[in-house]
Parts: sequence; C-alpha cells; structure tokens
Amino acid sequence: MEAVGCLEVRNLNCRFDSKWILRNVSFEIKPGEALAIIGPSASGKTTLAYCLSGIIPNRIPGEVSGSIRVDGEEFLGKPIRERTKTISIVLQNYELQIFGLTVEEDLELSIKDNDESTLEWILRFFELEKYRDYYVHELSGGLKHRLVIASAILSDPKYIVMDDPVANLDWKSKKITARTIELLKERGKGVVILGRRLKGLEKVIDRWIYLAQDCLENVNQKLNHPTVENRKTVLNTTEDFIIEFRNVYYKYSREYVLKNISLRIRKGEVYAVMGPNGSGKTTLMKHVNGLLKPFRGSVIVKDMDTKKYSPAEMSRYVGMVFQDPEKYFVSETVWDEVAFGVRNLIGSEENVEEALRMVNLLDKKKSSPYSLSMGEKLRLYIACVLAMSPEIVILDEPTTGQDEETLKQIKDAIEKLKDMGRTVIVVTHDSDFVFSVADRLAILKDGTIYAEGNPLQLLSNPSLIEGAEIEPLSILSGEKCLSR
Amino acid sequence: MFIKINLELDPRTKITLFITWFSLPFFCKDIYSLLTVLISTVLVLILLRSATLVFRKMKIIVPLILLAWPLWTFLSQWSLFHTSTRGVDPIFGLFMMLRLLSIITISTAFILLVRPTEIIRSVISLKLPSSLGVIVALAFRNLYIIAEDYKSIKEAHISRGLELDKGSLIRRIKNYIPLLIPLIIKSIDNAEKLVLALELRPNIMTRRKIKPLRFYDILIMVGCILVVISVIYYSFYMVR
Repeated sequence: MEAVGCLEVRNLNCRFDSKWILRNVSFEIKPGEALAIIGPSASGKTTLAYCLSGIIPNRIPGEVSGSIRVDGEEFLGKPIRERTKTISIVLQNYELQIFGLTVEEDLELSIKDNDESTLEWILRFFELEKYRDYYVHELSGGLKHRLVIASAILSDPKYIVMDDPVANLDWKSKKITARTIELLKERGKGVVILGRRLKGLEKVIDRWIYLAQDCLENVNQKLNHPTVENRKTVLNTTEDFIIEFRNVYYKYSREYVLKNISLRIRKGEVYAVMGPNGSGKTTLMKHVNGLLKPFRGSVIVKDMDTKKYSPAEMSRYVGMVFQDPEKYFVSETVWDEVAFGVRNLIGSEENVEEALRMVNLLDKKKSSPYSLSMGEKLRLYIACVLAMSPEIVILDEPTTGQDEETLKQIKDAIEKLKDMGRTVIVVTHDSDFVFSVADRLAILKDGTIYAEGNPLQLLSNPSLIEGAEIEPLSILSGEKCLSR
Repeated sequence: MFIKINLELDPRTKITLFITWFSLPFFCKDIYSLLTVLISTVLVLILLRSATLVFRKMKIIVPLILLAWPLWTFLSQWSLFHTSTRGVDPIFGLFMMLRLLSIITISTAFILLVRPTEIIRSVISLKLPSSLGVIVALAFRNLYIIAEDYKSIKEAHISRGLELDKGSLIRRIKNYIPLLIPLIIKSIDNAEKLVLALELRPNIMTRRKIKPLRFYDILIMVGCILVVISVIYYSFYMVR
C-alpha cells in the first residue's frame, strides 16, 4: 500500500563492496512528527542519513536498493540537489555547513527573498541576536550547531534529518534543539533524529526506533534512561593538594573567560568539571599543563608555578587527552603513536607496551590508528598519555558523542588510573558519567566557579542544576535517587 | 583578531585606499619618495592607533627584511631578470629593503584593519558573478578552519612533550613535520566534506544590501586616483 503525505522508507538496503551496512530498513514519518533512530557506533545511522539525502550513491559510491518515497514520489534515483529541497540534512560535522563568515552573513545566504523580518525572527528564535556580528570561528560548538539548524530551517524543507544533533551540545543548547524540533513539528515538518544517545530530547520525540547492525527494531515506547550504578568510593580527604588555582584570571581578546578562579585538587582523586559551552572549562584545563598562562593570579602544579615552565616541560607531570583524538594521530601504527610522546620526553620506548596493555590495545599494536573504532581511538590516546607516566591525567570531554559501550570503556580506564594513584580531571557535560566516576565536582558558569563539592549533593539539587544550566541526572528524571 | 577602523568608510573605499597605498612603493623610484611613503604610513597607523598592533605582528619577519639589504647589495649584479652594471651597490640594497618594509607594513595593516566580510561585500558590489563572492567567502572561512585545526594540533603535540622551538634551524623545521601530517589529512577531509555541504545547501543567495557610495567615499576615491597619478608623474618624468 502506498502511503501519501509522508516520508516512507521501505526495505532499504545499502552495502559497500560486500559489507552490508543497512538491511531491510523500513519506517515512515508523517509531517509534524519527530522520529528518533538510535543505535551504537557503526550501526549505520550516518549511512541511513546519507541514503536519505542522496549522498549515497551520488557522492559516495555504494549499492542502494529498496525505496524512499515522499508523498508517494520515489526519491531513490534522484540527484542530491533535487532531494535537498524536500529533505534537508544537518551533518554530524556541522561546522562545514557554515558558509558565511559571520552569523548574520551565513543566515543571509539562505533567506530566499532577503527578507529582513525573516532574518530578525530566526535570530530571535535561536537566541542568536547577541552573536549576529560575531565571526563564526568565535562561536562555541553549541552555537555553531544552532546556526546550522537555523540555516536549514530557512530553506523550508518538508523533512529535516539531523545526524547526531546533540552530541557536542551543552544542556542549554540541547533544550534549544528540543525547542527547535517542537517548532518544526508545529510548522508541519517531519524530523528524523539519528544519534547514539538523545538525552534532553525525550519530551519532543514521538517515536523511537532502535537501529542495530543489520536490523531495525521498533521500540514503540520511550527508552528507559540509563541507570547509574551504585559504587563504593573511598573519598580522599587528605590535604595533599596537587593542583592549586590562586585567583586566576584569563582572557583571549574581548572579555575575561576566567574570573577569579580559586580551587584545589587533591592528589589521587577523580575531579570533574562541568558547565555550559563557553563557560571556560577547557581554558581552565589548559592552565594545568601550562598551555595557557594566567593573566592574573597563579596556577601551582606539584609545587611548580606553571608560568615558569613550558607546556613540553609540564607534559612530564600532566597528560592531556583532547577531544577528537583522531585529529592528532601522526603515526602509521598504534605502537608508534604511543611511542611518539615518550620519544619526545626520554628518547626511548619504555612504558609503551605497559600502556597499551592497560587499555587492552596490545593486540592491535600493528594496526593503523585510523582503523580503530571510536572507543579504541580514545583508549589509544589515553595510552599515549599514560606511556609518558604523568601524575595528572586530564580528559577533555571524553564522553561527547560516545555510545554506552564506549562510555563504559572510558569509565573503566578512569578507574584503573585512579587505582594507580593518578589524579584524573574529567571535563564533561554528562551528569550521569560524573556521578558514576567523580569524587568531587566543580561547576563553572561565565568563567567563575558556580558550585564545588560532592557530585551527588550538587547534581541532586534541582535549583542549582537549573541555575548552572547543566544536564540533570537521569535517575532524578525517573524520580528515584540512588545513594552512593 | 580584526580591529575595525573607527571610520564609517564604505568597504569599497577601504579597498581602493589600500590598493592605492599598496601600489605606491612600486612607483617610487628613489629612496626619498620611498621614505615619504614609509613615514606617512607610520603616521597614518599612529593616527589610527594601530601602529603597535601592526608592528607587533611584523616582529617575526624583521630578520627577513634586514636580510634584503645584503642580498640586493651583493647579488643584484647577477640578476637573472635584467642586466646590471651597478656592481656592489649598498644604496640600491637599502632602497629594496625599504620597499620590502613598506609593502609588508601596508599589507599587514590591510590584513589587520579590513574585515574579510568587507572584502566580500566589495567583491559582490562590483556586480561580478555571485558565485565569486561565495568562493571568496569560502576561501576565508576555510582559512579559519585550517588555522583552528593547526592551533589545536599544535597544542596537542606540545602537550605530548614536543618542543617546537628548540635546537638548530634544521631541528626546528623537523619538529614541525608531525604537525603537518594530521593537518594535511584533516584539510583534505574537510575539503571533501565542504563540497558535500555545498551540494546539500539548496539555495545560496548572494543578494545583499549594498548601500550607494556617499560623498566623502567618492572624494577619498578621487583623492586616491590623484595620488597615484601624481606619484607616477613624479617617478617617471621628474626623477631621471
């Protein structure tokens, strides 16, 4: 039977060479409906988005069969240009979908009749008025994503496909994305949202579908929130502080990003830092390994004033695992990649084997770093840092865009580091993750410490969470609270 | 990074102003006219309160400018492009060094004082094909993406113990090689994705509000043309 007035996908198959990525995928979505398709890494979410928009097979060669119909019209054989007028896509690498240099310029590129009122409306709705003259590179990740969604809406498509839209966003931006989806639904648009986890969008999604490898399963109900396990922690209450921020101020150009920050981190504890995008989390962390020097005040790491030491010298004591590890790989094999940092420091390859063993990657030592899965790449980067035997390990947003399996791997790695007596600092937006691993938590807002203390106490305080604009714990939304 | 000139000049006027300014050192045929250009440049920058900013950014290329003097003094006699009878000529070396200094100062001021958006708006206002404006915009946009990637890759490698500015010149050049590998991979990847993103955007509009030129904009443009004519006249007919 042919469905009219909807986007209908029937028995969609896609394969590259001999490997099937999608098999018999079928679903339909009506105008004004939001459908979430979730699944772990490599389950074919991006492939599905590419098939819908025509990138596969028009740009990326692949064998596609089945049918994609919009209002009864077959779209499968159509070129990309003809499809985008009806099905718009917001890519996972959304930054590349911004073409203007400033916010206003990028939006102007999409307004059909150069209508000033449309521009004002879209700027107001997405709370981008303040940023209209900002250069795009000055915006935080969340704001960039907001801008791309705004541009996509301006071209007035019937259906919008969002590939992992909330992966890099803070809680406030997630709420804005949820509002956007709501508005799109009100305007009669169908929204397909693909992602690993779509926390924050639960209320606006009408149907959920689980995409496992080779199959598509209707969940037909809202997914249960991931539960946070009970865990026993031995809190370190000694006064042995390894990092100390003393009235630190820092600014890049316009205004202060860090204002009068004073905090102390104990040796051997897992310390989490949370806060909305642009609150200064990464800037704060770059002060620990000396990449940034305080404008005013001082940062003392292991009794050393970071102002007097270069980042390379500090790397003996502080290891930093950056976001998007694959961006930084330089070697052909996993072994060489781990050895790179050690060679820089001591000129030998000791510790490499031990570091690889600790993250369970020793059997892949001859593989290319680029061939690893997302979780493995992150573990490899942790091994690179571990091989240099630093006492302090900083993980900058390791949870961003990760599926449950990878999150578990990261959690295990942090616990191992803690058992070894290392001090671990985790920067993240994920409250559940903080609750499950951290001993103490600092919440940053507008460059100041908004709150600091026990993660459970802070995260179970609804007014504090709302004021700090951070993600609430899933267990609290489920109206039960676990004690630690 | 960009400082807006606190004058409400039309972007087209600004571009004309900089093109005139930039072409002046090429028309100067003697050291005195070149010194006039250089001193007036410094004066203008002081009046714009941008002299410190421009000279701070130029600090890194000062050795290269100084190197121009001995190079042109001793090597110009063996020039491949024209025959020379002058032999070792320190005055000619000084002249070329000053010319290089003027060109670099003016171009640095241009980069720092004119926002890329203004350049794009000027290109569009010239009634050239609309796609040209988008291409210029994308080129600038991509430059920022590459610059951001370079910065983050550099930070990640420094954090892994890489000392970039340590050792001999050869050693320092070698230190930068690990930065280039991920940067090149990322840039190629980005370029492919950018093409994809372009194809995914159904409409790219380039009709933007272009205000007509005001009286003082036209006055400055005419002034620019007069300056160029008088400098050409002075250089080619007065100076022998």
